[in-house]
Amino acid sequence: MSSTSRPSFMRRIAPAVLLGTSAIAVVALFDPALHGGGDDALASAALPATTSTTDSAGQPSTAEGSTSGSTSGSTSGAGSTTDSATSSKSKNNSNSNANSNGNSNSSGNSTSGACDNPQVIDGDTIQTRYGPVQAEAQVSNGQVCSFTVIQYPQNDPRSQQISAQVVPWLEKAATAQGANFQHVSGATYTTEGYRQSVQSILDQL
Amino acid sequence: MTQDREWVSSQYQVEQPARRRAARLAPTPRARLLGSDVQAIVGFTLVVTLGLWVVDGGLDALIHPGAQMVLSIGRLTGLYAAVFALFGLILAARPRGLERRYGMDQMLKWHRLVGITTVVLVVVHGIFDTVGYAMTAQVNVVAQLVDFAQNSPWMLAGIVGGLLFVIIGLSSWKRLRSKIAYETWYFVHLTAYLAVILAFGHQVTMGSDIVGNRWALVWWFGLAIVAFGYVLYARFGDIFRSVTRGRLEVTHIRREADGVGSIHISGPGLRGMRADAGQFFMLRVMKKGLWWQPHPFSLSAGPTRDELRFTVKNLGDGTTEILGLEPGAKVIVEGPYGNFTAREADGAPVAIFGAGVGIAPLRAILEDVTSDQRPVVILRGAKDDEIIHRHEIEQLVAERNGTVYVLAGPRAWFGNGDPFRPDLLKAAIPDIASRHAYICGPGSFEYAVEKSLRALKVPSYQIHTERFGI
Repeated sequence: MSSTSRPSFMRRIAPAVLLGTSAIAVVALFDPALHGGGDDALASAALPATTSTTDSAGQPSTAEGSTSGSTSGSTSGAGSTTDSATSSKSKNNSNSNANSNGNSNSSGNSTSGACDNPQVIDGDTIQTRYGPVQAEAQVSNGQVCSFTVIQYPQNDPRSQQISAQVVPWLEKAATAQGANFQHVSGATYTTEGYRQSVQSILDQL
Repeated sequence: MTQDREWVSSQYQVEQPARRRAARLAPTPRARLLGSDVQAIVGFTLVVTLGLWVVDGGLDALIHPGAQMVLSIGRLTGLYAAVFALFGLILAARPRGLERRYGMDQMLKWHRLVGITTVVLVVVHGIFDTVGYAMTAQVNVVAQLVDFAQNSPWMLAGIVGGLLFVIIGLSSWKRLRSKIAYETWYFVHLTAYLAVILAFGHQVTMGSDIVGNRWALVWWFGLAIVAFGYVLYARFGDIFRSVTRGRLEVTHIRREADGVGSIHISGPGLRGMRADAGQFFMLRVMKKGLWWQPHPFSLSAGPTRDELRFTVKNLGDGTTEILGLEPGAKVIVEGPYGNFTAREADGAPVAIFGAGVGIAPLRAILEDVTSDQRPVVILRGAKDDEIIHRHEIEQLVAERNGTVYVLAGPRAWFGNGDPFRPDLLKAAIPDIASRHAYICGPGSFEYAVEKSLRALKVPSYQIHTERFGI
C-alpha cells in the first residue's frame, strides 16, 4: 500500500516484546525467590547484612515495615523494658556488639564460666502474630549459662529472613541481660515473644 | 455568495415502499449494574485496603517521625498502587456490564486517571519503602536496593514490575505518545499485565500488612483473583461467544464518500446475537497484521439476522486495510457497546444532529424512531458529498413524516459561522426543549450543538451523545 517506509508489524512491537522478555528474564535469573538457593541467600547474605547494618544501639535492624518499633507492646504492654534498657546499658550494648561482629553463627555458648552438665529448661511457647517463639536455657547450678531460641517465626520467607537476622542477636542479648533486653526495631513481635519466654524460664529458677 | 443561508429542509418523496428487511436482532438488555453498586464495590475495596494498613499500625507509625513514618507511607501507597492497577486493568478490559452503565469514553477517561494515579503511587511507594528500609538499616539507598534484589524473595520482581509501570506511564505521556507507533505503544501497554503479576509476589512475601494475617492474605488473594477473573471474562468472553456463535465474514464493502465506506457482514454467527441500532462493536479482522487490534465501528443500519452494516471512516490505523478487504474475510466482533439507541428517548419526539461519519449510528437509530416522534434531522458537512447515507436518511424521515435539514458547505455560510446558533435552532425546531436530542460527530460539532441546546433549556438527560464508536 502507501506504507513503503513503514516498519513492519513485528518491528513495531519489538520494543514491547523486548521489554516483556527482559523483565521476565531478569526476575527468573536473579530473584532470590526463584533463583534456587533461596535458603542460601537467607543464611549467607542476610547475616552479613546484619552485622554491617547493626545500628549504634547494637541492634540488628530489620525493617519489617509492619512492626513500628515505637509502637511496641501490642502483645503486652512492655514499654518499660525498652526504656530502662536504653538508659542503662550503652556499655553492655557495645560489648554485645563487639561479640556479634565476630561470630554470626548464633548461640551464647561462649558465655564465660564453665557450664558443666547443664540442665535444659524450656520456656513457655509464646504465640506471636508471625508464629510461635520459645526460649531454652542451659542451666548449671541454678545459673543460666546460655539462652537459645528453639522456636521462631518461619512460616513465610519474610519471617525466615527476619528471624535469621534477629535470632542470633536475641540469644546473645538474653544470655547477657536476661529478659531485660531492647526491642529490635522491625521485629517487635518476635522480640516481645522471646522476652516473655525468657522471663518464664527465669521465673522457674 | 457568502451571505447567510437559510436552513432549508430537503424535499423528498417516498418513491417506493421500503424493501422488506430481514427480522431484526433481539434488543440488548438494559444495564443491570447500578452506579451505586459500582460505588459500593470500589468504596469497600478502598476501605478494606486502608483497614489492612490501619490494623497493622499504619496510623500509629505515621505520627512517629523517622523511618517508621516513611515506611508507613510506603506501605499505604504500595497497597493502593496494587488496587488501582487492578482497577486500571478492569477499565481497559471494557467489561460490557460496566460499559452499559457508564459508556466507553467515560471508562477510558477513568482508565487514564487511574493509570496516572497508579504510576504515581508506584513511584512514591518505591522511593519511600527503599528510603525507609535504608534508614532503619542505616545503609545508603543503593545498598538497600541491592540488598532487596539479592535477599528478599520477589522483591526484584516487584522492582521490575514498578519499572514497567513507569515505562508504560512515560510511553502514554502525550509528548512521547505522539512520537511512537500505535502498535509499539499498545504492546508496551500490554506489559502492564506482566507488571501486575510480577509485583504481586513481593506483596505477599514482604507486604507486612498482609504477611502473617490470614484474613488479609485471603482478602489480597481474593481481590487479585476476582479482578483477574473479571478481566479475562471481559477480554475473552465476547471473543469466545463470537467464535462459538459461528462464522462471520465480510460480504461486500461499499464506498460511501471520500475515505468512508460501509462494511457489510454476514454469516451464521449472527444467529443468537443481540444488538440495537446505534450501538457499536469492536471488530477484529482475522488476517495477518490486523487480528490483534479491534476497531470500534458503529452500526449504520438496524442489525438484522442477515446482516450487520458498519460505516467506517479511514483513519489510517488499520482501517485502510479493512476498507480494502476482499469479500470473504473473516471477522470477530466484540460487543455490542453503547447506550446510544432510540430506547433512550422512550418514545418522545427527537431531534437528530449528525456530522461526518457520526451520521452512521444516527442513520441506524432512525429505523427505530416512529412517526409519533416526528423526527427532525440536521446533517452537517463541509461538502455535499460528506453527508453520508443522505438518501437513506431522507427516505426514512419521509416515511416518518419528519424533516431533514442539510447544512452542507463552509461554516461561514450558516449563522455567520455558527450553524447551530440557538435562534436558528429554535426557528427550525420550535418544540426543541421537549425533544430528546441525539448528537454524533466530531468533538467541536457535538460541543457546538450541546451548547445551543443548553442555551435553549434542553435538560441534560434529554441529550444523548456518542463519542466513541464513530
